Amino acid sequence: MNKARKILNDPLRVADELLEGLVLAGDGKVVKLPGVNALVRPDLPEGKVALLVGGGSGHEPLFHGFVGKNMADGAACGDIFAAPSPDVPYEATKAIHRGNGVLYLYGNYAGDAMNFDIAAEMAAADGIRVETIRICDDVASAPPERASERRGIAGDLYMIKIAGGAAATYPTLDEVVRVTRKAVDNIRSLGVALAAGSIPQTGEPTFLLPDDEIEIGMGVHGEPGVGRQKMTSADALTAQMLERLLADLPFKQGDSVCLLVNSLGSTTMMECLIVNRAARALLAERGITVHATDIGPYVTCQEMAGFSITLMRLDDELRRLYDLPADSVGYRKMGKAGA
Amino acid sequence: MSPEKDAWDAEALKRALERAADLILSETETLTRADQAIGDGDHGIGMARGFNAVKAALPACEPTVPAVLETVGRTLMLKVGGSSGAIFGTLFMAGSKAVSEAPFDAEGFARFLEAGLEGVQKRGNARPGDKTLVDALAPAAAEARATLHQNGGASLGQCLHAAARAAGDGMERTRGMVATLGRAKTLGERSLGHPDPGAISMTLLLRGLAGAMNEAP
Repeated sequence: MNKARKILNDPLRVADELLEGLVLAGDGKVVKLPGVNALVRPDLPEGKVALLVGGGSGHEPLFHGFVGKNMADGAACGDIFAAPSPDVPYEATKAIHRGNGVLYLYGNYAGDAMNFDIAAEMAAADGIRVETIRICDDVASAPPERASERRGIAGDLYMIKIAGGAAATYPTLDEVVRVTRKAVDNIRSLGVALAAGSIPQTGEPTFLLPDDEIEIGMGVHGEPGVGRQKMTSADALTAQMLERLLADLPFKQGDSVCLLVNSLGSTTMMECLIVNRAARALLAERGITVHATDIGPYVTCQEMAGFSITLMRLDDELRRLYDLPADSVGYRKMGKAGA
Repeated sequence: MSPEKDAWDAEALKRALERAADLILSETETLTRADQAIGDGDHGIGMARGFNAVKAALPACEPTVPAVLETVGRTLMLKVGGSSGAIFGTLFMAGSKAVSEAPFDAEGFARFLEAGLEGVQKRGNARPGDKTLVDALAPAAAEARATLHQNGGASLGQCLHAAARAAGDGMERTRGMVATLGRAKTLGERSLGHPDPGAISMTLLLRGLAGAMNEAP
């Protein structure tokens, strides 16, 4: 495989430089803390429950791109595909704490869990209350009875949307934790990999997949999925993935959902729209109503080819939080009329 | 074995840790290749960044045994990055809490490894057999304690060498294990045949400390 061509300066400063660019793109809505790769909102009111997200860089706009109004209050950013060291979430915690506790929300990966846990212990020693919820929406990564071991993938977007909305409008950390746990229970994702992305520092692919094969359920770093197969049509592939996704929760006739078709990087909007067409037909067949749709590259792995489908089953509370307007560099949303 | 070599004061411990850091730095390429085989290839770079920072931090560190070990832990935690930083940082931070301000002797070394092991397992939920550094650290801690008991009070040097040998044997055994935690679990069966990079680093650390014991102060 040819090495990927990337528009870079210093391969060792990729994370630093992308954050500098992100802060500028935020036009004052986010600032970087001195000395650590953490982004925070500068305008947090006293008494607000704070939401801290984070993880390895290289999956933009994920995490640091989702800091903004009714989204995350801060993001602790690691190097490319690597967890941040604990001083990053710790410094971010101190910067966003407004006296009412901090929720840590991040994907369920070993390195992130260890480093955020250390930060939580350091914050607790300062008298800051921290609660942790790990995102585990990838149905391919463990069976339903071990759902808490699953990886976090594109469901990150909906988790941050719901937790961010709750942290902006609910008075206590306990209430924010309660509804964020409810979101965990109601969000499911499944992806498919067509080709690997590459590691920016080296240009090497993150995994190897034969040219004529795809893998349903493969993780964004090449974690194994549920099996390799030959390429097939958009309709057949979408049906195969939705079947597995719907059976997992399970989603039932009469459910109302948000639908996210997420590009893993190089899969185009054109392809995602064709997948969306197939998904909507299948959901309608099952009597499942789509309340809202999000389509685009939100949780990526460089130029990885493939997409994921995420469903969030709604109740009145989740619907209200989803419908709140949001304003971050990586995700903007107008409020629903009348909401 | 001369009596002054049965224990290290804080300054001798600093020199031994510098020696261990040098060994890890000289093997950066080995660690990188080992991690490229079953991980994402950044373990060597991270450990080199961390132990260079340790060497820079040690001279100015307060000269007590717990403070020296804590400084190493804090530095690794902040500078290595990823999972390795959290784990090796926790090893030294937890270990530093188990030792007294008295010179670092065989009993102190055994306690350091036992408390470090407990801290690492609590942090990462790794059990023996999961193909992690625990597979080198757990036998090293057990062997340090066994050596201490067998000889009715072995010297620090005997315990260091026994622990380093046990870590090396444990590291070799990780070749036959399938990774179930962390990034290497990506590979499943494909991780067979390769030693765990963290177990290699753990072994190098103990070999470096044991090697320091053989040198004149």
